[in-house]
Amino acid sequence: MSDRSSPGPHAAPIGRWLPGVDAETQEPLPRPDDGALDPLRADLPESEPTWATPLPWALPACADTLRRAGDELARSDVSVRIAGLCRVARSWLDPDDDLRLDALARLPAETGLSPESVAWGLDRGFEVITRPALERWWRDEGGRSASSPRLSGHVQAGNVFTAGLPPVIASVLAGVPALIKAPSAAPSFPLLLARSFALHAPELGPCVGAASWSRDDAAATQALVGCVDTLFVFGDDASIAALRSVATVPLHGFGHRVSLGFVARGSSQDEARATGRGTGVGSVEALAADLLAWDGGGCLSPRWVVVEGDLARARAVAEELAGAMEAACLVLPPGPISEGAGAARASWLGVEGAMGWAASGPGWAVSCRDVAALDPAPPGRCVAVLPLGHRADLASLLSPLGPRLQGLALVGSPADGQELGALLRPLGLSRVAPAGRLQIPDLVWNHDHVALLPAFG
Amino acid sequence: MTGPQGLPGAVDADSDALHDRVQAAIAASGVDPWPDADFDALCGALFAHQFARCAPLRRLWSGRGVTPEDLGGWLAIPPVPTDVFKHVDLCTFDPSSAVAVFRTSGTTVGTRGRHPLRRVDTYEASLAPWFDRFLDPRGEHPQILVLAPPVQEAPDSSLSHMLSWAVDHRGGPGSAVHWDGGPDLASASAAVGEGPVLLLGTARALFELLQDDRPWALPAGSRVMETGGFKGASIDLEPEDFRARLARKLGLPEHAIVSEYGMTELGSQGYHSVWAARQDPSAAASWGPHGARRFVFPPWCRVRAMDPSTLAPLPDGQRGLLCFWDLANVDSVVAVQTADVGIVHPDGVELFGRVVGATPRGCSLAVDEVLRGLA
Repeated sequence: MSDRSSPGPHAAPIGRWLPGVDAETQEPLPRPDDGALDPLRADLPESEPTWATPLPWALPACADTLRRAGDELARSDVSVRIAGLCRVARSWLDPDDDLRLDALARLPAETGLSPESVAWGLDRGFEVITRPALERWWRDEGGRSASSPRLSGHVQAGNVFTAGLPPVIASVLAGVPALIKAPSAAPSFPLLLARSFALHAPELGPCVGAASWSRDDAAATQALVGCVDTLFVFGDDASIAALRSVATVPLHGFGHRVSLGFVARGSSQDEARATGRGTGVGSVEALAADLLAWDGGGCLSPRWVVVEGDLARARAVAEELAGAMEAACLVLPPGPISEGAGAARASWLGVEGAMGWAASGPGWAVSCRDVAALDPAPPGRCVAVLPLGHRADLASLLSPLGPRLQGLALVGSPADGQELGALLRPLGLSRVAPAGRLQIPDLVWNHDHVALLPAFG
Repeated sequence: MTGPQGLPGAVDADSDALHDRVQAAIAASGVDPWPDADFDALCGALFAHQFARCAPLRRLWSGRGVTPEDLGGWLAIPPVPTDVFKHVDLCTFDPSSAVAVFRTSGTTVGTRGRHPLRRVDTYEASLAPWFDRFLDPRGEHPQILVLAPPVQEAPDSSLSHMLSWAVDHRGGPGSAVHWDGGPDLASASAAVGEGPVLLLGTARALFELLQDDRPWALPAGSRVMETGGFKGASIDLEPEDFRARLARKLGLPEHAIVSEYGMTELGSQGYHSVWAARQDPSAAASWGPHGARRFVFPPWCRVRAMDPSTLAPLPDGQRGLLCFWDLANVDSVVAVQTADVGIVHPDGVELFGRVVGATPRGCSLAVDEVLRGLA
């Protein structure tokens, strides 16, 4: 618990948390060897002030501070870093923690997600950060070398606010401080995250800084690119390509992707009993949570559920899924819907209803039709259930997407998962998980096939 | 004529009977408001006709739990989004027997919507009284100049059909379409006669007129109907500015520039009342002495704004997606949901334009763009 008072739900978004930079003047603070650095001195402003120092000057000052502190961080025992990371994670799971409460107050307005969805995102994002998980991750993939970066840069984007969390965790775990560009439309989470490190893991020293600026502020972005040793960039392909063209350091891009669900032949409980195959992994009912998380806007959000079998089986799955959506909506209710989103949803529902079968309720919709086609694409919190006679045709069905497939939520057996993983890996697939778990990746998931921890070795 | 979809000729007789009922009701009422019961009865009859004979509509409506047997009134008919016209033929007959197929421009997403018509006389029966009321309330039959493709050149354009109809049925001497691969401004300018002119044109064609060097002072009493928007052209001009510049260019008062709202998927149209209110004192009771920059629709075409998240009808005065229940759509879809945003007021519909697309959120792929090859 900090002693900072909560800004309340209507406070203006915060703009910067830059260790080594004075919060009020944005002037560089005295360096640690001057004996005056106090990261907690930089109280979080309750509203965006008019900064005296533009970011292109403030960022290098912060980077300098982080690099110096990072030398000490790198020399620390990994158990110290793991302990600090666990305390940070636990704080985010503490319902009374001030920073969590602050995030819960700010993020619904910033992201368009419901408060329940924001809480779900925080819980799922931090509950995987445990001592055993971190120890295992470090043991299996960790390590440092002379060429390890001294400072990592992170460009975060979008409303899936914890998507960029694993690279930051990996960075600190590897003893490398992190400097984050927070998305200007949803800046709070990275900024509060940076502050939570200072508050809950002070023994790690100043190790995470964050600031938000517009993607149009090329000077600030150039300053970030120029003062880090490696970059982790989330965004659309064009934004990543633009940064790649100016970056002179290793850049790991995480572009926009799409996922799907797959219900394997013989995977329903009735079928499993009849065939004696036993219970597989996932269930149609559990798929609903994967569909509704992040309001269907995540790269791991399934947009289609492919059912191995004929139309009748697909329709049965669609109806079962529709039945599960109501209950799932109680856990993950929708955020406010814009006119544009409402029109898109209504249009999609109309087309699907005219061409096949569709059911909907507040904040969800499910359709089913006899043609396995991706078009028209379902909008968020909507899913099209498609029959497919043979799984071998799946790659052909998905080929219009190019190599942009991210994950697969499976209702089937582990063997189904292995087979489908191999089949779809050329399309970009990097994660196969039981239905209901797709959106809760472990730290070791190689998002977009980027091995996070080895990137710091 | 053979029956649609291999069904016996009785289907045509049913359709014809409905066309006759709609036309008779329009003729009987003129422009007067319709009692709810009359609108309900005819709307319910069209719904039942379309439900029975159009499989996609039957799937859609029954999927929403609405059938002719338990229809709770016209407002209970779920409006069908205009995008559906792009994917399936929404008609009660074999579309290959259509006498006309109107198509959307396809400027928004590339795919063109289709609206097959079995008969065009009901479309024209709906068009005529409202055209007269808002563009020629005194029955002057002025010279009509059209700046849009002629119907022979664009047979699938509902607008061209409408404007050619105006020339043929409402135009005075010298009326003609002036088009030669684009607006033929030289020909139109030279054709302007002594008396009042009714200039009908697309916004894009009239924008070209704004750039024309010729003096374009139209005779007193002239008026302009503009429609269609700029259709994806990179023209950054607010409607108010456009109308003001057009009025100055043509030497007319601004109230002589009348905007029309029509779409391929609808058989009826709406107009701003600014011209008619000044010509027809009896109309002042409805629109005030100066009318309003709001679209007024005929009594056989009701409009409501719908909540974008629930698709439930909103009370008048609240902003939402515009939906129409249009009795001129006898053999297609009686309830149409547009992608336009507006507010329904007692004196007309305030239009804000096409809904801005959903802002991409999160890291999910913009699949539509990928499938259309834009990403």
